[in-house]
Amino acid sequence: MGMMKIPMVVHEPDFMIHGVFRFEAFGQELWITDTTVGAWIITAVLLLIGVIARKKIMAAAESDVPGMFQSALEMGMEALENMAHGILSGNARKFVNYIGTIFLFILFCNLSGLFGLRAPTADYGVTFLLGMFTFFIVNYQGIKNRGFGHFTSLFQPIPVLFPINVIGEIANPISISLRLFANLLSGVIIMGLWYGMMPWFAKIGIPAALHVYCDLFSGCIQTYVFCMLTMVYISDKME
Amino acid sequence: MGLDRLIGFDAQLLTEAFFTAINIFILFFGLSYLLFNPVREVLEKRRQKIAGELADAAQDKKSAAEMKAEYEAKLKDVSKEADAILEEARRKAKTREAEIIEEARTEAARIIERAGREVELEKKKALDDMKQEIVSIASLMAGKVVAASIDTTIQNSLIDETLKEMGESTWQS
Repeated sequence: MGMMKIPMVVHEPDFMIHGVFRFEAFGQELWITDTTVGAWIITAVLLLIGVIARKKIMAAAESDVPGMFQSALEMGMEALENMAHGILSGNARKFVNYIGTIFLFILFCNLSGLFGLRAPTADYGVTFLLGMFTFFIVNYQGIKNRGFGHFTSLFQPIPVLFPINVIGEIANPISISLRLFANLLSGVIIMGLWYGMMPWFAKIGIPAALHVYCDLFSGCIQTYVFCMLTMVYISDKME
Repeated sequence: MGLDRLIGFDAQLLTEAFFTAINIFILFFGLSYLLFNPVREVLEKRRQKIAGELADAAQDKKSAAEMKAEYEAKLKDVSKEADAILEEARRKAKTREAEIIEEARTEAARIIERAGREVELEKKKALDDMKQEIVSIASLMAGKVVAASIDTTIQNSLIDETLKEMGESTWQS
């Protein structure tokens, strides 16, 4: 094995999910992983931002001139509402809060790579759950708006297409969850390989460009794509 | 460390999903209460406020236009009234002028009439004086003519006769 060793490797490249705390449940050996811990940290950060925002807004409600922070919040809210309105039009109101929640959660998860966390969205357990939420919301809306027609629509335009329609429905949550997961995982792997395998001088400056692409660019794009697709799927069931 | 993995379809995946679901629930209700709803409320309030202010401004503008029209109408009325007053004054002045002229004419006529009467009186007086003079002269002359020959009785009868001969018309001209 000594012959196979590459001399330039400083550490083993590390892009795995690690267990932090082991526990037993339902006769299984389960782990609290760094993904879960990262998600908790992000949840806490978001709630902290929320608390500050609410405090600021309640304080600013008296004066009419909004400050910088409030302006930023308002612009974000307007952007979110415009995005939702563009796709869901009249039904946007009901979904803005959920879309905003997953938008912020995914965005902060994706960007957490910049702060040294392993992006929680690079764990399929997280993106799978997000995809399933989308799936349930979409089908709930379908049944609510069309009743039994939600199921008979699978036989349209001709009954022969039923299997394909079913696959199409099931493929939606899988495709959006895998898209998000794979994009983020590829970023995590590239960064892990670079930090693990490059000599010390290559770790200065160059990773910044990689972070900009893998975490910032890809992270923002995938967040946007996930939210857009969720809304598109919902709006499909609205007619 | 007991767990190193990238992906696996097992109970661990469901565990991650379970924790994520809790996170998402907490975030959904937490952020709705802390962030989304307050911000939306503020925006909605501002929207309503601006709409209200715009409506107020439109209302103010409308009432200002109405007031302006009203004042303009009033100004027009005022100038009309002034014209009417001037017209009235002019008319009164004209009437007064005519009256004054009339009065003056009447006055003048009266003065002339009175003057004529006075002249008449003067004339009468002069005639009376003259008659008196004639009587005295006649009696004087007659006295001188008949001084020696006739007495006073005859003289008086003579004078009366003379006077009768001169006739009424001679005296009352």
